[in-house]
Amino acid sequence: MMEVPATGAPARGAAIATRASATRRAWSRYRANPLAVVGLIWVFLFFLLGIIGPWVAPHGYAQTNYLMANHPPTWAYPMGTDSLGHDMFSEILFSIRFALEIAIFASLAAFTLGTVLGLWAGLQGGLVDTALMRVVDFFFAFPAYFLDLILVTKFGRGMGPIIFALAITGWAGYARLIRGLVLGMRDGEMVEAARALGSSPLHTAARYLFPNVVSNMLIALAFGIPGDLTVQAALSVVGMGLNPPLPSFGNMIAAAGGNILGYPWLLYWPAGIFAVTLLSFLFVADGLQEALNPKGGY
Amino acid sequence: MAHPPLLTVDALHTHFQRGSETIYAVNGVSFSVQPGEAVGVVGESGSGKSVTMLSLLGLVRGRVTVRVARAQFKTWDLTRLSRRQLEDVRGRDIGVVFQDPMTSLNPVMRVGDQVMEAMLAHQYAPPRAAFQRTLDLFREVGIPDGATRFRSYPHEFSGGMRQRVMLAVAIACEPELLIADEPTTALDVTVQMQILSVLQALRARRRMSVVMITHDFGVATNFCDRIVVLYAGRVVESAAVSDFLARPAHPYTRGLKGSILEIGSRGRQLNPIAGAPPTLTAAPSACTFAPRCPYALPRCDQELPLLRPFNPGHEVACHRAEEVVDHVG
Amino acid sequence: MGLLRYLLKRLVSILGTISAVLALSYVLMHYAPGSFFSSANLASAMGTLKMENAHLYASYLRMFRDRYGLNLPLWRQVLEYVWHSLSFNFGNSFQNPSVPIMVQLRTAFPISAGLAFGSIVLALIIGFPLGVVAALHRNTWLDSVLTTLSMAGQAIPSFVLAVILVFVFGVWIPGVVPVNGWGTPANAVLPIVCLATGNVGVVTRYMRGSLIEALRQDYIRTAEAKGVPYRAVVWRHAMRNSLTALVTVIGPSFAFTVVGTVWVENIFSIPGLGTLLSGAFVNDDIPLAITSVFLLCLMVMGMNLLVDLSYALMNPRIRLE
Repeated sequence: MMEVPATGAPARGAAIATRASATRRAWSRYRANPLAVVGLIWVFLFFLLGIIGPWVAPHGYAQTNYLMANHPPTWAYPMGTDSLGHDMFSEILFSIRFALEIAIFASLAAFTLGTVLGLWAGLQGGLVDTALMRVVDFFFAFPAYFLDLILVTKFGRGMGPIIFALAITGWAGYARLIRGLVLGMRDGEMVEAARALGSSPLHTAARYLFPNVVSNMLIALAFGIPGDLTVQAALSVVGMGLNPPLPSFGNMIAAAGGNILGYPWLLYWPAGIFAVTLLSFLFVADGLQEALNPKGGY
Repeated sequence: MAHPPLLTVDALHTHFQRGSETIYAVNGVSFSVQPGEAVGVVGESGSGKSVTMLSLLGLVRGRVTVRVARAQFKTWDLTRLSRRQLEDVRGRDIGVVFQDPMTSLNPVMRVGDQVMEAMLAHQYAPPRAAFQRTLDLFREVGIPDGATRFRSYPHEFSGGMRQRVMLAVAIACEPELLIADEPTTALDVTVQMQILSVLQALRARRRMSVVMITHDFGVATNFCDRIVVLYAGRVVESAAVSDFLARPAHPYTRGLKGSILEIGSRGRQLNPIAGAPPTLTAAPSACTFAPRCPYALPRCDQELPLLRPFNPGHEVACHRAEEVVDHVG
Repeated sequence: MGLLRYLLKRLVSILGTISAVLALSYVLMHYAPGSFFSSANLASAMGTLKMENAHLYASYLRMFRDRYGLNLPLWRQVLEYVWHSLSFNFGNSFQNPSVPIMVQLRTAFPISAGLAFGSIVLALIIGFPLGVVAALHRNTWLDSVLTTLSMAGQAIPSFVLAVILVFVFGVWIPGVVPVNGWGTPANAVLPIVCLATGNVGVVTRYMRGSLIEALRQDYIRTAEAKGVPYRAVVWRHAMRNSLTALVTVIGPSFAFTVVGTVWVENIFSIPGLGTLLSGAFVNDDIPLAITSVFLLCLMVMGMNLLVDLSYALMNPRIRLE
């Protein structure tokens, strides 16, 4: 009856079991949130439309029909046409494609750049850390949107320049996040304990740091993609968005703003789909946050 | 007993709802506190000792059910009081000191105001008198230079000083009962001694009753007149300190006693109890200590031992108490 | 004392950041391919003059370069530009050379600042009580409704909302409030509502979260144990602490309102900084573009400073570093 419970082996087994069931528990927490589930379905649909859109679109995005300009929805033009006779349905399908391409590539580029620089700053420390964090602070001190405008003015209003601009102004947030995670965990109790139990640094990183970092970065990315969708559309509002005839939600919504007095279908579809998409992304991001990191954030 | 008890609790049950599970935290605790008496409520963490006292005051959070046959304090039955009436009793007739002085004081409120607030809430004194009294209380609990310290914020105080502030808050309205919930656990050892001696002095001057909740058997035996031992939400033994030290009748109590390392006991084997107290997801139907008990019989796994008189003023909940007490360990 | 030193430090850092923004904008904009200063643009601006009178063309070119300091080394150009901007000498715009930029700003800046400030005040007035109600009724249907609504407000960008409101009040129920222009107080209604909606959502959600968090703290239990009535516990103890927490997270969202004014002014045709800015960018009017970016950034930084100062004032443990 005086047995000391064996701590070594069972604790390890327990750690593995906890990891697997942590994912399952996170998923069941996520599923319990109906808004997050609805949001995920819409986001999934949005991605699907982005992938198949160009093949199912009945018209090309630059194809105009002046005889049918500003026409209400018909069988041939299910969402009506705009002032140049573009088919709104096709415009929207292509817009989804282009919007997703820009948002995903820009977010991934910013994410990668931010992760690399953040890791570097966090692991290296010292001068590198100080200098990099100064730069990060600079990016946080004023709205990235203005720098985006300037960059787009300099490099043009194509897909490439816009992706570049969003990536250049978006990395700082990821860098700050991952640096914080690295610093927090390098000295964290969990790592200390793992080290004390004799696990190797690599093993420690893979088992304890990686899952935590991944879930935090996943949440950041889930907030980042809709952010890029918004900024990209917002460039069009001041006339600096994706160059026509490439269609974009920003252009359609901004154009509808000056044009809706007679033709409401020009507003309904783009604004409706765009708003629902952003809302869905927020539901997903919020659901992820609650599922993966129930104590953090609001 | 010449006087009626100050506090009598009869069959208190507190259950939490956590997800789809019910946690049976307190399962029929009964005890009483005489006027001027210091009672130590002792148990490991999770034994339900804090929850017991917080339940009586209506301070338990979460989805919680509290059932009690009787909770008589002075002339009131605490369970029959409305929320407003209970607010009147709290702080005025029953003062509370919590465990962690770091988090138990409001960080954005001057400490003096936090003491005064207790008096103002009960119209115990008008503001000017309450201010004067706060300075007196600071002096009494050992906070020097009260007039300056009145205007300080908690973060400007050390842990020990903050706990003195907590003591001042708790006794501001001269309550007849002070509940001290692990008042020294979060403090350094030397500071622990200081706080205990302040508490001892306060009690001696007022003849106030104290319920000292602690997991530290040494603190309880030094400070209290009588000790109530809780295990898994039930009272397993209740006795005067002298009885308790001389003739512990419950195997768990014997284990606890064995786990204190007394000065001068070097070389004696430290005798901790293996295992941990259970978290109950069902109402107990057998002895909950049996899995850890060296004296356990088959009967202990089937039949719930009830708290029964063992000697005058000494109660125990064990089927084999008579054998345990005679066993030389 | 500590506060004053902090303020001074912050002003210096704002000066540094804003100088860096100016320098960066100047370098990027002047060397942009389509820049007004590119020789191709200059040549086309002066049309056939080069052929007709080469001498006059060359002297015009020299005058132009002198005037904008283009013959100086780049670092001198940047320094002078930053210095002039910081002393609020913005020169004249290209589009409207006879009017100093300062004169245009004198009417535009107050409009944008008013919109941003007004919308934040409105957001606080609406969001604060909603957040408190949601927190005090947490995990009830009322809480879910408020939380979902505030997420919707947060998710939909102000320019989308603006276009929708133009439609609603321009087509469905016209004549209630003007959807275009500036001049009467009624013109401010829709833009301010658009700008406030997102912040209402943010304030509601953060207020709910921070109040729930505050109510979970140990000192709340202490206050209850003292016998303080629950209402007073909430208002006197939880509220103050949750506001302190709220201020730390609300800053970026309020600062972003300044960007929102740019969008909303464009959609409602309001002659503020945002309209100046978009016109400048579209027309390659570099001095005006950089100046409006400069002023909008100043507004953002001013907003951040205000938020930080109010945090310092609310928190006795002034940890400003």
